[in-house]
Amino acid sequence: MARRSLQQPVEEDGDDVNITPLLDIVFIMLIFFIVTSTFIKEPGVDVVRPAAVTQVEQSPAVLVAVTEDDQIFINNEEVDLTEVRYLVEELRRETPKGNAVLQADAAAKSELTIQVLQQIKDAGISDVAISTVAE
Amino acid sequence: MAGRRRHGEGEAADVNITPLLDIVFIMLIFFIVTATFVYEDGIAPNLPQNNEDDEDSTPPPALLLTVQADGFVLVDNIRQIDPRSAEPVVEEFLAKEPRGVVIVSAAPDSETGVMVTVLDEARQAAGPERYRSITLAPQSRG
Repeated sequence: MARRSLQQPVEEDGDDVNITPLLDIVFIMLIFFIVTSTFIKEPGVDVVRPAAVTQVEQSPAVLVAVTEDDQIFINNEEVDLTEVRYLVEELRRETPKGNAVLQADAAAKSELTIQVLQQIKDAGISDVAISTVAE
Repeated sequence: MAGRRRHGEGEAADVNITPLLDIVFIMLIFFIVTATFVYEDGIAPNLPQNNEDDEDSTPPPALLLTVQADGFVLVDNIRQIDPRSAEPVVEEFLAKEPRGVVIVSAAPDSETGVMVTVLDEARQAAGPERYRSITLAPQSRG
């Protein structure tokens, strides 16, 4: 009897690793990722951004890209200029905070860039920026 | 007997949290994988707005920088400069006309890169407080 009652607690201690700190860390990471995840739909094309000095950091919620071949991309799909306004309005409803950023290729026609900018503004996002890189 | 009962009590006190942990870890992995941290730097240009015309007000003095399709910049339709030397021109104009506005007009076939360079030069000359006086306007065709 005495031997058994001595052995049992020892065995239990060995089995039961204290996982409470692990759980704390996991929950904190989970909450962090839930809070910071914003689900931005990226255009999915690589553009050569124009260089600038006076750039400001943006917090994009809506991303639109214009490639060097003057194609417009939203959410991995090529779209027409007339569709931009409707699609931006739809993206805006999903992520209400943040601004819109236009990823325009340095070699794209500026006429199209300005037209897309105007379309995004017409969609109700007054804060639209052209994506740039540091020189 | 006594030992068996003690064993049963121990099981009741120890709630099985393994399924909870499984779910939490799967959620954690899902959010880590789907988290996209998008960093974008950019400049926000002012576009022309249609406002009610006031007949009384006189338009402010304006500097017109036309970005041409050949990559050069036409200042006030008079002289041609390189896009990278637009800053002193804008600085001189703003020093002369403190209430003046700068209009960057891009020709339809000009490149976005040159347009952004001119815009950036004008912003460097104007400084953050006067970004509002810089307008990016499309040039109508023909």
